[in-house]
Amino acid sequence: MASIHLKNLKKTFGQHVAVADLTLDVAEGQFVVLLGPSGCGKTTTLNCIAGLEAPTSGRVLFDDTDVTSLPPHSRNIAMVFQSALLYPHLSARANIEMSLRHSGMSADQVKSRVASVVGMLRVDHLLEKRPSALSGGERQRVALAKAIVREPSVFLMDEPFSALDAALRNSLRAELVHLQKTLNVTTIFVTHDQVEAMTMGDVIVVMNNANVEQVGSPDDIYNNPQTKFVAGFIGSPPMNFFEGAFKSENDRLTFHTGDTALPVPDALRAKLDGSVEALTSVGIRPQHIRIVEAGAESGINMEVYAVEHLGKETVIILQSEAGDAYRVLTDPGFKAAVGERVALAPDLAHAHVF
Amino acid sequence: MAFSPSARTNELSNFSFALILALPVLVFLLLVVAYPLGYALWMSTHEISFFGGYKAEYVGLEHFADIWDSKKFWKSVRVTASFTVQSVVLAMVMGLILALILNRPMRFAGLVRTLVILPWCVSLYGTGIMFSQLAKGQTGLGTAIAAALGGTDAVNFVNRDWVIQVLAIGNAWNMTPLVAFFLLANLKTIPTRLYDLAAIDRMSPLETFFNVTLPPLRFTLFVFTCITTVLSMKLFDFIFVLSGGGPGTTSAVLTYQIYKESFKDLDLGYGAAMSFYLLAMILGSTLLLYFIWGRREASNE
Repeated sequence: MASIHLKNLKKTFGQHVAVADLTLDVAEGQFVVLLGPSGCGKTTTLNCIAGLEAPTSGRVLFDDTDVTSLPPHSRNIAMVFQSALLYPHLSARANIEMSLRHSGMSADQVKSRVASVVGMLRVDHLLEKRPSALSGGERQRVALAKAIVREPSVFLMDEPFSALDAALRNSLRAELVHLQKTLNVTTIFVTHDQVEAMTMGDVIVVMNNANVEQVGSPDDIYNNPQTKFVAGFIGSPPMNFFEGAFKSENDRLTFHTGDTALPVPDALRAKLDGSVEALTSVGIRPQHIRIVEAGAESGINMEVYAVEHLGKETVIILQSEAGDAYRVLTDPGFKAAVGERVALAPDLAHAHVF
Repeated sequence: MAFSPSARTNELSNFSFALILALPVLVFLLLVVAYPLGYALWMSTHEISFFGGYKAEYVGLEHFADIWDSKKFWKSVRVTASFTVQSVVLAMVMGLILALILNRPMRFAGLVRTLVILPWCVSLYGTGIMFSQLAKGQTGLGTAIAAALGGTDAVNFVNRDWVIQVLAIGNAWNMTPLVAFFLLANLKTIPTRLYDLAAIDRMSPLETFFNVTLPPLRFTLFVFTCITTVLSMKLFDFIFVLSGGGPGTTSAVLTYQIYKESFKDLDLGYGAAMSFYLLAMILGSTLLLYFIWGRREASNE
């Protein structure tokens, strides 16, 4: 176990800035998820922590030790890669043992260590097989065993589940969180999947364009997104954005979007400070919007574009006159025909203003 | 031939359809492979003479027995084996090195690749002329280098000691690009992250080579070892142009010996019989390669 501290980490490739200026503290035993779209710099950050790439500037500390210039194998880390990378010509056992080759352990020690780890991950029956004979899930389990057997102070994971099907991803997700909590190893997990991030992370670091957008717990990030990017990236179905302006008349505050004027409730008013006249963007999650009859007062007119039945709820996808898509969560019984004209009544009490 | 359509469906069976599609090729193969092979077999059991009227007299396996007892033949087998081993080792090693170099990121990679493939595009006849000029005393590299270093003597490599090496280098020069390109294609399939895994596992560069780089190449290495072995054993024009089997008989490989017996000494039957020994040698060495190497690689795939 180790805490990880990144100090003003910067990595550029020629003109391209991969990581701009990243400072991050990860406490011992924490499960931190680096989340962001592809090309945001999350994998580069992970590579710098692993020592696979040298940062252009900035430092990487494990506990109080500066490891910036140490090679990967001297950092006591273990890494699991996308698509369960293993040496293709070696058996699962040989792959796992490869992690302990330079540990100075005796053959018996290696054997007992491997035995305990393969039991934990239920891969004992796969040890003599080569990676090509294993299924995707089995390969990922073996890769995890290979990582765990080293008893590293830090786990680094680069989208380890992205090549697996949804059902397998679900079960491995829970298994990994359980393992991480049991072993209490500091873990940094890179993903572009916000569901994965929300379900696994103690702390989520949302990255975009080489910068950190927000650091926080899953609840914090979901409920108090600091930037429009975070608001739109987290949550499924994603948040809806209405462009418009606040106008104040006779002490009545309204939000004007298109031809519609929506009264601003006190809950939102309290959050707004002064700059109410400016053009702005208001974000509202799909569950905080109701569908009302077309032409209703304080309703935004739209056309039903598609209907997705999810069993416990139904997602209605609507299209505005300008062609933008909006998503609304309704009860499962909700009936709507594609092409039907309706209106949206957003609950501004739950609005996020950017 | 009865390709009668079935009464019930009016359709050809899969086999009939395949046969019709393959028919032109089958006829062609019959003409260009089976007929000459059969004719060669017939010749190898006959004593054929041209002078005083064409005559072919059946002699059974006499030619085969004579060849087996011939010192010249066994010398040719040794020359062929030596030339083949040196050509193949050189082509495979140089091919691997070239592939590793080409796989590195570099400027003008497309141009470099184009230049590297060029030797493969040169005909073996052309290669023969070029390497003969490069190795000979009057025109060669050896003399030029010696002169640059202040020497006055001509340095000739087409001699009894070095002619096989000159031949092997020229042959490998011609085959290496193809080997390199197939290996390069394999190298491109290695996930770069596997090198990261090797770094975390603290592998030395040599261990990384054997555990990451080499495994996906091994099957291709085997296949091309077979291909270059066959190509080297049946090579004729290049050797004919470069050394003409000489000096003396130092570079008289089997193909050259067959040519000499058949078309210079006009002993067609004897030459045909010897060509079957060459066939046996080619089949034997590829089978041997398969049993000691290929079988293992195939099961690793």
